[in-house]
Amino acid sequence: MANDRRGQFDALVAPHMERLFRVACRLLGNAHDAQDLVQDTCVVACENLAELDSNPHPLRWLLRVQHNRFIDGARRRQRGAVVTLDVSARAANLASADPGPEDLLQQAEGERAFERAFLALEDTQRTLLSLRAEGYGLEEIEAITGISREVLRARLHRARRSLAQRLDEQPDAPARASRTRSGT
Amino acid sequence: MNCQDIAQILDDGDTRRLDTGLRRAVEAHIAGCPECARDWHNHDHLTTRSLPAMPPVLVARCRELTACATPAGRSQRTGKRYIVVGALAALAAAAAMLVIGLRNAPEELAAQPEVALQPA
Repeated sequence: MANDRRGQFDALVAPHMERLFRVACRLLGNAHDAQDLVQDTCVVACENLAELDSNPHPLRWLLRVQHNRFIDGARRRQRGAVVTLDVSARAANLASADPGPEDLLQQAEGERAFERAFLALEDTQRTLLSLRAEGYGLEEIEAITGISREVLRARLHRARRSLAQRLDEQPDAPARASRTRSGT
Repeated sequence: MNCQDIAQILDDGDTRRLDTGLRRAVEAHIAGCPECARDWHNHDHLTTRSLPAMPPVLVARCRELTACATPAGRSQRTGKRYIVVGALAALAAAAAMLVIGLRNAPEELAAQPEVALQPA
């Protein structure tokens, strides 16, 4: 019985865990909370393996469960100490040519400011921008969040405005860093 | 290309795989539109940021949780069973207390008039 369930997990859930984890990292800003969220999602999935098995879009189903878990848990989670992603590693990946220590520091500060601004957004706004950043289109986001397409457009617009506004409020806004990285 | 076109791409397009013509049009627009430029760069920043790799132990942990997890239907049935058993036990306790109370009641009633008949 337990082995059957492990087999179902391997077939239905495991192939999507990387994706779930990426979205969770974006939503929560740190790998530890992301693991907890993915684990919660997996528990719900395992309680509903039959439903997951019959769903034509298992990843969407899992992301929807994760979105609901995130929204449910977001109010309970602490909003302090959220910037725990490896900022220095991210700064090292930036595309500026041979940055000196001061540039790296500035970029890292920019990353932190961006992270703070992003995590200060409303939970649904974070979800929408995270799913867009992962490459999901409106149809998929509609299926995951249950928000209709027209409402989604308005909410995405508001989310982008809110992010820009929150970045303006940050003392170390990452405009320079993001623009130097951008190909546009 | 106008602000609405940019918003449409940001809403539903694949910004990492724009064809050359479209990319040039986007670049031309955002060069002269600070608001769209800001949205575009923020989206780009979110899209290209590096994320931590998933720890392999997470898969193993979730896999083991799977073996222990109870299917939702079964856990609901078990929960209902507990509620029914609990309610029956509470009813039985209440009935027992009622019976004991009724057995003691005549004695108490018989004792009361004696007290009442005593002269003041």
